[in-house]
Amino acid sequence: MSLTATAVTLSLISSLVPLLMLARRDPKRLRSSAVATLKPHSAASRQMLTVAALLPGATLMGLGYWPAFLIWLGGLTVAGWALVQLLAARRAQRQR
Amino acid sequence: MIALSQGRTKELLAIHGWSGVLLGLLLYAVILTGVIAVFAHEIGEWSAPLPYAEHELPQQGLDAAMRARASEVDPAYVDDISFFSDTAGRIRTFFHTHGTKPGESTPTDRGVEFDLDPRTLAVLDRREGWADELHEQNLPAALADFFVELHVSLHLPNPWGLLVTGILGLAMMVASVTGFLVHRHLIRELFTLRKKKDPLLVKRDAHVIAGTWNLPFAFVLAFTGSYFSFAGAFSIPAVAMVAFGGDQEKLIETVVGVSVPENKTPAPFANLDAMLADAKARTGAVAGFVSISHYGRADAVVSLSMMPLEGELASDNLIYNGATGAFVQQKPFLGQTPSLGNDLFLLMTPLHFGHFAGIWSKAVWFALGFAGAYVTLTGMLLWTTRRQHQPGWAKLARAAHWMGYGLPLALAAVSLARFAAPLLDVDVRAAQYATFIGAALLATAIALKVRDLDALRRVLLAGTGIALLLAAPLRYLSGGPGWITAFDAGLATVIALDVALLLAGALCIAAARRAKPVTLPMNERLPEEASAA
Repeated sequence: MSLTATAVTLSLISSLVPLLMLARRDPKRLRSSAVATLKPHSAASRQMLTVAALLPGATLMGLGYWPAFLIWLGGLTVAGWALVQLLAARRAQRQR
Repeated sequence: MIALSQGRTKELLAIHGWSGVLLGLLLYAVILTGVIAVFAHEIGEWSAPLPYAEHELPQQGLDAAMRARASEVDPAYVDDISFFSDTAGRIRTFFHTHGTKPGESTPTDRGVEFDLDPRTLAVLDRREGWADELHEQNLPAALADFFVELHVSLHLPNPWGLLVTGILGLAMMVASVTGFLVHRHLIRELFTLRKKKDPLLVKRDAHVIAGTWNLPFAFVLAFTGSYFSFAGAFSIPAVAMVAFGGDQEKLIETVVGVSVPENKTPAPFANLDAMLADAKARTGAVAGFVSISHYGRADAVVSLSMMPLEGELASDNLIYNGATGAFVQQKPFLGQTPSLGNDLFLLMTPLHFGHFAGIWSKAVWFALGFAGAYVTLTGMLLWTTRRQHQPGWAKLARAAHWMGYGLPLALAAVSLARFAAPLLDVDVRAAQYATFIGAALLATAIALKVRDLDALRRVLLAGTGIALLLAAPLRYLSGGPGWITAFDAGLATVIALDVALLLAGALCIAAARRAKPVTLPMNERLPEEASAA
């Protein structure tokens, strides 16, 4: 596996974990889908998770791995979109 | 959240919706074909595979191959020679000179083009004529070219096609910026997608969520796309007119060329392979594009555009003296000295094409483009189907469905034409055009006949699914390699694209079986509209 592929894989996994945690307990999402079982994140924990999600990208930028940074940024936005779709589909299935 | 007055929000919402509706149909076509064009090389290899997978210019043996071909062509055509690995994996070699085609004003190239085998450098095909005629005769790249040209210029003549796609890029930028401004809770609603609410909110959320996540790249792709379109259609002719008396060749030579005093004295050409080896030793990279000016003269110049190194976005451009083989300089692509303009110019290509890190970057750019097409289509459908009971809007809603689901059908049908044409002994490129137009007309007839918009969506999706499912078997029946042969030859692209098309076809059929309500309530307002009222 090339350096870029390794950097992208590691950075995307490192970003997706906090992103998933952010999405699962996002206050607006929980409110709009009437989820009572999960407690929403506080503002402080949301900020911390946001920083954690963006940190791998900042690291790639700092190291000057520009191709890996661009792929990470594009991959994160696509994965974020897919994650929201998946969580909404799962919620809709449970509500049936 | 960006605080805007009600009046300003209303204005921006109108600009967002109208720019999307008026230009959205064509914009969708440009984005969708752009998504496909990301894999132009893979499509070339899939549709016309060689017995092995080769994607690089050979760094040994080019010298002998060039001399052999140079001795066969009209001496006028050795004025300019280029080599590169084309979309179908062949080494495309073009011996040419510059001129103006009778009856035209724009300068173009005329010469002989060879397709060389990347391993043996044997001649696979030879074409002679003006650049556009050579292009029409090129069979291996026909399918990839069709998608790329539809993306770049909508198959309209120059410069009109480029102007249209440039304007569409600007419209996409306008829609991105206004969408960003009118959506008042961009961050707060980043994860909010309501699936069980009323159809209007579900469709609005689907559009907004995809648009929000895709926003930075939508802007980047629109900006770089506009840049490329306007550079070809407007900027180069305009600068040539102002500074070079309309001589575009002179402009290009001045901006990207090498300044060498003219010397027509015949002189033997130095060893190209040695120059390639020297360039590799200097940069660590292999050459991706070779350009030779004034072959066989004392003022011969060799320009080697190197492939980007691992971890780099941009690449080097090395200049050699063609008569002596001596290294001259490492030259920026624009101008003679390093500049910010050159650095920005070098960034445009990887940012738009997404081919800077192989399959990784291509896969991500494909997904980003797909998200862009999804946002455009859902925006058009949301805007028009909500108003379909108002005079005139029903036709626009129908047109949005026709383009949204009819274009994929026409594009899928083009790949069938690519493989059916050789079996029927008809010209491949002509068959592709005819099939595309035929499929578009068929989609039009269906759109006029089927009154219910959801039924229209389902019929067109089912048609697309069937066409996609047929592509791989037809490729095989037209003489392409089977999966075992492809596996043995290392042609992973062939198998991967076959599987991807079969999966996409199955997904289209599955989507066609699902009914969806398309009439949205008129009396409810979207959150953005409510805040603007």
